[in-house]
Amino acid sequence: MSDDLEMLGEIVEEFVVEAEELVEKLDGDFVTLEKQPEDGELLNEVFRTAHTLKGMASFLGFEQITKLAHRMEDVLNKLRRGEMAISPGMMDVLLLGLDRLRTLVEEVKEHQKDVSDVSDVVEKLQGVLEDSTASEESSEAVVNEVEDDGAETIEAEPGEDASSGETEVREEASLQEGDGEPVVVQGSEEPVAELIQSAPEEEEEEDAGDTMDVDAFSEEMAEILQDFIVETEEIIEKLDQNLVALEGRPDDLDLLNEIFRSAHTIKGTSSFLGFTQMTRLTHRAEDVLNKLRKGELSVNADRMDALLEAADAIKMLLDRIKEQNLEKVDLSHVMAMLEGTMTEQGGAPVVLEEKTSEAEPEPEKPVDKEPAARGSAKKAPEKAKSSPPKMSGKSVTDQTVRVDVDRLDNLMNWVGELSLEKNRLNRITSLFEGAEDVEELSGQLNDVNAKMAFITTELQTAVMKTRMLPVGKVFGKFPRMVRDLARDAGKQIDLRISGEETELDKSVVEEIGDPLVHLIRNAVDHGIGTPADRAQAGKPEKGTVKLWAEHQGNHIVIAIEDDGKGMDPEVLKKKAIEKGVLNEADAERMSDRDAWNLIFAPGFSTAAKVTNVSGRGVGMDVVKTNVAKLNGIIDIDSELGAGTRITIKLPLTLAIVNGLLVKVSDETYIIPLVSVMETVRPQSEQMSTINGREVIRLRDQVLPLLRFDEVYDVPRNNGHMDIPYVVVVAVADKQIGLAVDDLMGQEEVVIKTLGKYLGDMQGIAGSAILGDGRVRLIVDVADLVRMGKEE
Amino acid sequence: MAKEMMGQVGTEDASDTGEDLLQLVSFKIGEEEFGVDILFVREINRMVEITRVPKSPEYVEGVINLRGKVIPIVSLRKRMGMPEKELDKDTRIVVVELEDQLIGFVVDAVSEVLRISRNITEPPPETASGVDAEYITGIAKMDERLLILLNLNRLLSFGEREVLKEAA
Repeated sequence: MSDDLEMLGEIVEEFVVEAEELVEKLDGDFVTLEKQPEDGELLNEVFRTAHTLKGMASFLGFEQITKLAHRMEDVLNKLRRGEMAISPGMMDVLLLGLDRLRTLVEEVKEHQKDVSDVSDVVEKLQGVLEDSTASEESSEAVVNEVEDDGAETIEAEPGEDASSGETEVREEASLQEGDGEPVVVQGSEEPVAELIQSAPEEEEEEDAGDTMDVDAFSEEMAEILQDFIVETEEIIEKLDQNLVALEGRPDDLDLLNEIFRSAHTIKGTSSFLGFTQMTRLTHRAEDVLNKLRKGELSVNADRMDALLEAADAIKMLLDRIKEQNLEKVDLSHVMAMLEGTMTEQGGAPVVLEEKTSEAEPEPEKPVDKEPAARGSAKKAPEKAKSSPPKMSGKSVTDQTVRVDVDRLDNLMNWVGELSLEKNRLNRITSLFEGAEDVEELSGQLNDVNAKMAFITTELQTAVMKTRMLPVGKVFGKFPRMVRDLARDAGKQIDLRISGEETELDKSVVEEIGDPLVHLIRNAVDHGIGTPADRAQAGKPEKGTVKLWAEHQGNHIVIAIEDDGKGMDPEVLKKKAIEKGVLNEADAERMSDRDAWNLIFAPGFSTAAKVTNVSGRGVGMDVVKTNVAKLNGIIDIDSELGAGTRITIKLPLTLAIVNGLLVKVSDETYIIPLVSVMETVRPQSEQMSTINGREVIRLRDQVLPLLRFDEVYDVPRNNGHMDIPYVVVVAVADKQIGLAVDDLMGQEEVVIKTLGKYLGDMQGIAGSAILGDGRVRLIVDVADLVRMGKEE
Repeated sequence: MAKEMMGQVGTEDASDTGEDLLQLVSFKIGEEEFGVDILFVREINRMVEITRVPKSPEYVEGVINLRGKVIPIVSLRKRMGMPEKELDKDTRIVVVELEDQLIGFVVDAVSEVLRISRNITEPPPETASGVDAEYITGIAKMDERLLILLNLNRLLSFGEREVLKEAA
């Protein structure tokens, strides 16, 4: 079976779906039209729909549909031009035409061609055209050959209506005709129709890998491909969310339709690009969805599993396309799952039995049955699920940002303003030469200056906004994740997400995904107990995990909150001592907060059992590392028996930093404000040394103290030892005090690298040019905190 | 490969007026006179305030703001192991472009732009006076003057940079 044929098969399928939609749309619109015959907008709409249908059918050589749609279009065209008025008789004819269209589309669906003859309706429509007072009788008026389209010349019976019996005969007759030479197909389109006819249906048999023609994979293709990847990723994400939502609202027809459309779009685009495996898979999923939305099947857990599995497989395929890995993937089990759900009994023999047993929550031993139940069937998609965030680090799509046009307009607007002011500045400058009234001019200059300052700020914001993405892009995958995790663990969990519209720089959004995955997994796995446990603790059986994001000044805060068991500082300490992370003496005087932070220690895990989701002690380490990389701060708050809240504070962007300027001897440095917890003027009794290391006591905390000048080898001409100011900085879960000479205020600066030559200097995150034109270095707080720990 | 070649004074690329002419920017450090291929030189600036970069190699003076760009400044004196000298009104920063990066060199004074014939250049002697021979591509003899032709890529070779970065 050649790919061409296969492709055509797909195109026809595509056509059928779209034609069905169009016919449905016409149906509704016609009815409305009858009630509102004066509605010009609606008339135009209807005309366009008919026109689209005609165009598509003609392209594929479905000439009966073309002919009929064409004639209907003619009538509609006259109507919308006001050359005719709508009458009930006319509507009847139109509706009759529509019914015939539906039949024809049905035929295409079944036999890949439209066979039933439509001359009778065409004539009626013709009659309507020629007699603006058209009525049912009009069809008798003209029994003429239909001129254009080179229509076949079967004499039409001037029947009042197309009685079913008559139609049937006709269909048969033309069916035979169709089997031989195609009836009348316009010129070059003939082969298409022919090919379609011969396209067999057993397309699923050959599971060829997705092919990409090397030649075709030129630059142009690469661009198209990239668009495809970006778009499909978005659709899949949405699909995932919608599918999970559907489980909660199985009767939501709008939702179902949306899901169907998503699948349909992926099918269409992937087929266009020749990714046959993806097309086939989405096609199968679409079949199931179609039956669901038509009410032929009902939404149940197995079907959802199959659909979600399919979504995962599509994701995996997409990832492979991203990597340009086009080897074929074994999709047979997903296909089988989908296939199995196609009957109302929903009995895909092997896979489903497994699934159904898993579907029953078994709170007693959720962990133990994990390996067996998941088996090989789930392995592949599982991998796919965890891989995307990592891969996205290098994929092609990372180089592009999709920007809202409004934002670009806004940007453009400010650039325009800027050049206006520049011109004004030029004018004033020229006036200065030989000017008498310098005072007047300096006033103007001040004005321009103020305006320029304002515009550049706005400009900066506008440019920054083009890099902003809603954090919902990351949140989107969590409902699905929580659903799966909860099901696997036999828990009931309600995930509530809010603030998903909060925006963050693209680079931050990309980095924050992994940490959130781990934190949510942690909340589900360790935080929320089994229904039985929860009932015993007097809580509702269904646990709640809240995930929210919000702006707080120049930062964004993301929090994960559960109403689970909470964390017991004593248990954590004990565990840490066991693992050798902590010694007993330190444990004694450790605050609760520090004890909670122990979960971030590498190799630390309190899970009694290591499940496949969390408990290996790697996850929290990842959280800490990634958040530190973003200069973020993690804060834990927990109450035993009531729940845990983990808050992550992040900078809005990595390109611009709001910095605190500090002076050390004769040098000035910038400390990112996002890392600054507070600044204090320490009293001497707050300072002390523990094991020869300087520390500062701050309320209930004891923080290591670093002297800025020592860390950065700042030359001192007078060796004075007092510490006027301490800046308390934090990264991820760690805090330290930083001794400086003076605080110089704050300034928003653009981060510049030190360049390849100097490379990554320890303790320096980059540099910035301040308002006075001087270069100042930006302190790498994460490095400092690390140094503070090692010292 | 091409870049490598261009890094050395004395290749054909070095001259736009024929293969026998070299165009050099000459400058002084102490009593020695040096020359670098003019193709590498972007601009020559007076001394500006340099921001020290902690923990950078000893011969890196720091960074400056060059019209909105932050570029590193290297002391040629320190790089070549010569004694330090007070900055004065003749001190200049020679900004060169190497491997798409701007780097500034602090020199005692910039003398002139020279056109010399390739014929008068000689390969470096075994031991050049005070300067590590590996940075030198040749010596040009002009009447009374002796011009040391510098290989900038060698001076800031990547290998060396890696080592220094690790040491830092």
